[in-house]
Amino acid sequence: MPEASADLSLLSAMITPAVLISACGTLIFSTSTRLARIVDRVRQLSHSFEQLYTGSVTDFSEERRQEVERQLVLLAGRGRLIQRALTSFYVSLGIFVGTTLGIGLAALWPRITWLPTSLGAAGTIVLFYGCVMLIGETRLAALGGPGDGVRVEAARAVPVAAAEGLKSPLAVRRGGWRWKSLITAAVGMVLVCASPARADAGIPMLWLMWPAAWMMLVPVIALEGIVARRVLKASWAESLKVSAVANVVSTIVGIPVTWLALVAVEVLYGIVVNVLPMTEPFSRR
Amino acid sequence: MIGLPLMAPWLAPPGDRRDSWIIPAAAMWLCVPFFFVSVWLEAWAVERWIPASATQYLKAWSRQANLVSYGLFEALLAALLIFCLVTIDA
Repeated sequence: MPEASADLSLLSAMITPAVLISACGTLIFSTSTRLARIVDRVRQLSHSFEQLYTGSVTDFSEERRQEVERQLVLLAGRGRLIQRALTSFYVSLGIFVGTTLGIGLAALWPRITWLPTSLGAAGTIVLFYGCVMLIGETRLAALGGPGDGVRVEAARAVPVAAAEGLKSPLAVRRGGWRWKSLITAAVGMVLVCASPARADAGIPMLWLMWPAAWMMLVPVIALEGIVARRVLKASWAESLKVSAVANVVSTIVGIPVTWLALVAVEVLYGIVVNVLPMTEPFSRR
Repeated sequence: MIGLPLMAPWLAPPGDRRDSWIIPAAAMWLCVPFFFVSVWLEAWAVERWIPASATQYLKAWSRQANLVSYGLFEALLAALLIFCLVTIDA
């Protein structure tokens, strides 16, 4: 009976990366759909280009050509980001499957317990990188919309790309991506040093506090509106408007960002407490 | 108890039902940094929304308003914590 129990716990441990494997699968599915949409859009724009050059469309042909070129530049950038994200998701999926096998192998050969831990950390970093690429792609997607205001913003955001035309479709990326790479590297370092992830990895308090904050939003807006009326000497409408704006911003941005910062401190504390003592045996050698 | 402030954002898996008091205690602790961030963020967010004559009272409003709202949260969480501690053996 104890042997059966050990087998079951081994099986249970091997299934642990399934959560992340499932996450990879979902992301691959949604990212593939986005890629297919981009390909469809590029084909549509190519057709528009063809019509412009064959003279089928004569009204505002120069403006149309510039707009099509601009959109192709954005779509090329989006395509590259999606391709990187998709590659990352496939790679992390493979790594997580490797983690599952590693857990099984580590049960047979305890000397390689470092293998599933390393694979799990590597897979998480690659998955995170893919998510960062997707965020970048989403930003570009917002710039490529049909609205005039959005077009103006897009034209401002891609002056280099617009100037260089299709020769340099990734010029968009030169603008402000270095800080994201730095954040990716920093988080990657933290994840590499972190303890192995498990499905029963505790309670992230944001999951409890954020819904509660949303549920309390209306009474809090009313409460802070009363204070605003008293302190700011404003009308009821103005007081409630100020209170609503302030609390929506603070709930959407303040709580999650503060929580993430606190989690980062907790992770660093965990590294100091858990990982550093592990280096003692090596230093003794 | 000593490690709770640092461990509050992401709690370790609770051992059994007797550890349920940790959740309201951690939430009470988390309200402290949330309060300070909210005071700063809310003052910044509404700076352009309020009349120019009221700008000088903005920080005072943000501080007082968040004291009231987070005071309410803390009171609710304290009640929950007391409930958890009282019914710990039930």
